[in-house]
Amino acid sequence: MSAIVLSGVTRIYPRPDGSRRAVLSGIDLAIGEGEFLCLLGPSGCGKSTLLHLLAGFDRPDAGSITIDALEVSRPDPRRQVIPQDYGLFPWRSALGNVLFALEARGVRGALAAERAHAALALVGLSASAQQHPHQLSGGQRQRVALARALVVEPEVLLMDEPFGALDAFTRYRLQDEVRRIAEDRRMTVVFVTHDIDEAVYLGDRVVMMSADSGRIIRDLAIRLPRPCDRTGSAYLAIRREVFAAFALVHDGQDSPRAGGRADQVRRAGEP
Amino acid sequence: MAMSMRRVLLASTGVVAFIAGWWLLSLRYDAEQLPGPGAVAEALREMAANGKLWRNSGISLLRFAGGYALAVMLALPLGLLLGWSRRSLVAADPLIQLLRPISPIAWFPLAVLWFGIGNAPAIFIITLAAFFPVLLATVSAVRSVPVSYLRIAANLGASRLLTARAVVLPAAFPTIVVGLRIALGTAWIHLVAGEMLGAQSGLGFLIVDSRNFLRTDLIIAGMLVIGILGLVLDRLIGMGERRLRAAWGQA
Repeated sequence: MSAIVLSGVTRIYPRPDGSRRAVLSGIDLAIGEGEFLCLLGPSGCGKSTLLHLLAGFDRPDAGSITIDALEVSRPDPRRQVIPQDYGLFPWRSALGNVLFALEARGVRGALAAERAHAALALVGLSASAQQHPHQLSGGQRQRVALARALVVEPEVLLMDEPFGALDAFTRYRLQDEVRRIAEDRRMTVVFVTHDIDEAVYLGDRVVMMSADSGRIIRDLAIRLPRPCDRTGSAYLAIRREVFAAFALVHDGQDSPRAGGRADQVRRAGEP
Repeated sequence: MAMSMRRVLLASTGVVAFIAGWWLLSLRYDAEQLPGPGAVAEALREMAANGKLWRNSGISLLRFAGGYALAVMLALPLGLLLGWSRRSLVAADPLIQLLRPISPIAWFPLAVLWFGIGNAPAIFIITLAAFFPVLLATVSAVRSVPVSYLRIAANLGASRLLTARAVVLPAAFPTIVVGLRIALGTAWIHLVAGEMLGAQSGLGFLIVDSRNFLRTDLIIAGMLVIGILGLVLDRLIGMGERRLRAAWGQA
């Protein structure tokens, strides 16, 4: 169904001073079907750019992205992006936002209404179907965005720091729900985050990117029983490992002699 | 309650001071040059009684509605097109910038040559006056539709038509309404100018006609009616704008 392969993906942006900066440089990554992959890194590391490339909103300057051996060249309803700001239409109700997705797919009438209500029920928002986004909390808006993406039954879900603006309790609850829905529907999920806890909790695999190099510095498989215990020792051990990897990278930026240490981490992280 | 009374008092300060100053000045001049507030109120009563007030206001409002509606019907679709397609904007922009600084009044001689005297030239002038504010507001509104909305539509595979109708138009609408409101004020100002030059009826004509009979009190009464109607029109569209913003989830 949906195995994603990136090879040598490079994206270059011009700087304001006219020079060019490689936001992504030679990214090689294979994402298995049904995998829940967290792309973890500090702000500006290129993880959102990578997500846009996967979505087909943008094209790489070099390298290729294929899904099931087909080149990604434009947006496709089978790959649904949930943007950071949710991208809800403020003039439509929660239900109206979900209905738009179906309208875009050519589904109308009673069937569309039935499917939209089912999607809202799936994310626990049936009671708020008629509310407009400005009447909803941040967590509820995120749920509407999720329902709008899920209603078209995508094979791949691309989430861009979706829970960044939410309070901790709402975030935990939504993390559990996204994980559950992704498993139920056997979706491939690429989840961009800068939160180490979130990445370790959610991901089958955590791919770490450093702030400036535009490269993957570590690719870590997470083997934890699901649902995983946020306070269990196995979870904490992995969290410590990820933390250590990032601490090294960040030290490396500060001291000129530490470059070799970051390098070692990258080597150690290669499969 | 006490607060709102104070607000009303404060809001009336300008008007009261103006009427008082006007009255003081009017004591020093002939009624033909500057009639006082009392004489103008009397003139208003006279116009209301003999029907001139209602007839001319009605004609002016009808012309205004026609010209304004025509401008919106032309400028809105054109603005959507120019905002949506970068190429069409590049092609049309120099022409727009060339025509826009020409005052609608400057078109008047042509309007009279083409349409004669009557409703048509006044409507033509109003249409011209309202056209550019609506056009420019629509273009900029469409161009500033958040790219995230367009990405959502593209991601879902929405057709261009659906994207234009169900995403771009509603996303741009609150900004377009600001242009509609500016256009309303501009068009109302030019309506009167149009009627002064080429019409045999309407509030503009009423003023010119009163001058011919040296009825300064009627001139000022006509001016007052124009001001009051302009204020009411602006308040009406302002109310519509606020309702719309509420429905769109904006403060």
